[in-house]
Amino acid sequence: MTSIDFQNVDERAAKLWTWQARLVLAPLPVGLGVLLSAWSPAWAIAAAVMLAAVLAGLIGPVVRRRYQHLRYALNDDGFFLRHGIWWQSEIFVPRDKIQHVDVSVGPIARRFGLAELSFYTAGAHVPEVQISGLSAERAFQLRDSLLDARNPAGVPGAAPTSA
Amino acid sequence: MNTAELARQEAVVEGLPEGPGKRLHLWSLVFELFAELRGMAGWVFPLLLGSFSDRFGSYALYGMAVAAAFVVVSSIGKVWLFRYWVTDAQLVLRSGWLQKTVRRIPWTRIENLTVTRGPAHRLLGVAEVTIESGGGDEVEAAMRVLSRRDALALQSALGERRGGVSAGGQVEAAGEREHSQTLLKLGAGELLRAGLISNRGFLAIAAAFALASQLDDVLPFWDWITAQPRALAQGIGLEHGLVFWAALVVFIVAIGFALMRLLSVIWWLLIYWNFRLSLEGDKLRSDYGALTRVHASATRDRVSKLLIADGLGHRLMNRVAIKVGVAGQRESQTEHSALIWVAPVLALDRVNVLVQAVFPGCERAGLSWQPLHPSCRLRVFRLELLWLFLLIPVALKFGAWSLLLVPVVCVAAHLTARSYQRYSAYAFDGRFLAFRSGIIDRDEWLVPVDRIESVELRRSPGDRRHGTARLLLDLRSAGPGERCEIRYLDMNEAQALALELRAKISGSGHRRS
Repeated sequence: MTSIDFQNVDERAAKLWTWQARLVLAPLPVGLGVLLSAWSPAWAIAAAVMLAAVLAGLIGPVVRRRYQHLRYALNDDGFFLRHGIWWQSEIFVPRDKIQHVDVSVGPIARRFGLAELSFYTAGAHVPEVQISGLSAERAFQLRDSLLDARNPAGVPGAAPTSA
Repeated sequence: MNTAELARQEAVVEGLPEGPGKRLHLWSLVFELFAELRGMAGWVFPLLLGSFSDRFGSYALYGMAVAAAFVVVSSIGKVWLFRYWVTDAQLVLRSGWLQKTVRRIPWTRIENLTVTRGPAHRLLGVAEVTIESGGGDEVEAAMRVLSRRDALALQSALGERRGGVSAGGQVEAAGEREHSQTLLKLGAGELLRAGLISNRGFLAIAAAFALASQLDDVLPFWDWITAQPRALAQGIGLEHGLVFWAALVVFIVAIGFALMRLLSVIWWLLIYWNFRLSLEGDKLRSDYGALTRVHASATRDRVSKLLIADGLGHRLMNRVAIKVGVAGQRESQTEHSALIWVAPVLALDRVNVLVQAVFPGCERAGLSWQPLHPSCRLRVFRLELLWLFLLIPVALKFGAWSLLLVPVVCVAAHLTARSYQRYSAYAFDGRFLAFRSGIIDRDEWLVPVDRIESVELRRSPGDRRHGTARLLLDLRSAGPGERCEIRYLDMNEAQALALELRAKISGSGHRRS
């Protein structure tokens, strides 16, 4: 086996995840405020502001740790991915076993110039590996690198065709 | 230009093979209609209900008429337009009218070809053929229905071409098909035993009891079932006291148990009647069933996992059950597709022989089993103690005396954890990875290393505290539920094992076509 040089995803990923977390969590303080407003509007506003502050305080460190823990590597053998803060995982997929590779770019990710890379094996219905926070160029570069190794001659039509 | 010429030119444009191709059997219309109707039941049912309404009745009827017309036309269209060609390299299927689909399935890519014949199929002399290939969720193609002869011809065509294709893609001379070698035959006696072991029928009995209690006003079920014991009790001079009721409970449980076994035996006899597992060249084939006769086959290199399971009943009778996971097998049609059962019931002394037949070169007897990390005992014990939390509300309901059950649960949890730790182990001989675990119902799986798709090492906070890890393997087979998992591995051993597996699978290097 060749050496494994793990690397982090793009630095802009932390910003993207912060925005995503804000969008996902924003309804929580609003919902709490609405719930409590029937009881006491002043308390409702105070509780909503406090919850918002706590969440805002948590998002930063959690996103930072997620960024630090998400590392990947690609060598001649295959693709390695390490992730998880509390439940830590290291997954390895050999090049030969990769069936197809997807690069997807969401609306927010596009603003940051980021993309998500997923690849599938014959084993699972769900993507074997999904890695977000890659710069778009890097994602396409990884995709090409994985596909080139699988099909060095670039011969199309390995799969059955549909007309 | 005449019609035939037009059709020929169209065929050339579509890249279809020469010749008119084969069609579905005429009875396909009936089967297709039924299938369409079944698929539409979800929205036809509300329409049917609506037709009874005064206000919307006529609209619902129109809706149903339109739906019926649509179903009839689409079924006829589907059956009429479907063609297939058997060529040396591929099976070519053409379907559709406005949107024509030509599907070419190379023989080498077909994972499973299943021929199913239910009672209706057999009555009409036809068979349904399902073709599955790797990747994706759906069946690659379903041919509903072919004449029995065409279906079998297709099956043997697959056997000849795939079995005969050498590495260079040359088709070897036909007629070299190996003789079929019977690996296992299950007679009525063995099926009877399997029925007695298994718990099939439990749900049916539970449902029957529930129904009986609901229908008590109409059918005096309980009176009927208690009449005999009452008469007996009076006969021997017993009053309707505690002894009577205890005896009655025992009687009812015994009846329920006997009925359950009876149903289970009937179920086994019907489903696995005349079970035969055979090896034809490199192809495993199983045929079974009294009502629906299933003929399933898969080449041995598609088998990604072999599972040996036993329960209390199995151990009492020195039996196990062996299942295999086949690449391309889908969870949704597990009953009829692919080769699920290698041996629904098998004597212990024949296990290693059968394992050898499925995985040539696998020396199960020679595996050196390694124990799990010692902390697994404590962790299983803690998990089992969760039952205590369930006991607390029960104790509050029935009074404090039921708290006496707490030590019983503790002892049971301790015994469970001990038996888990003693039995569970893993083994790796360079070609096959094996893991066994369980307490009462025990599983042992065997996986050829070259069929592993990915290797994952996972550590929970608990794992980090105890210095352990969990190894997860994704296989070339069915859905997410089919992952193999080894828990409570010592961290160093897990890392070494993962490293070795990675080296093996990235070196196994064969590429799928």
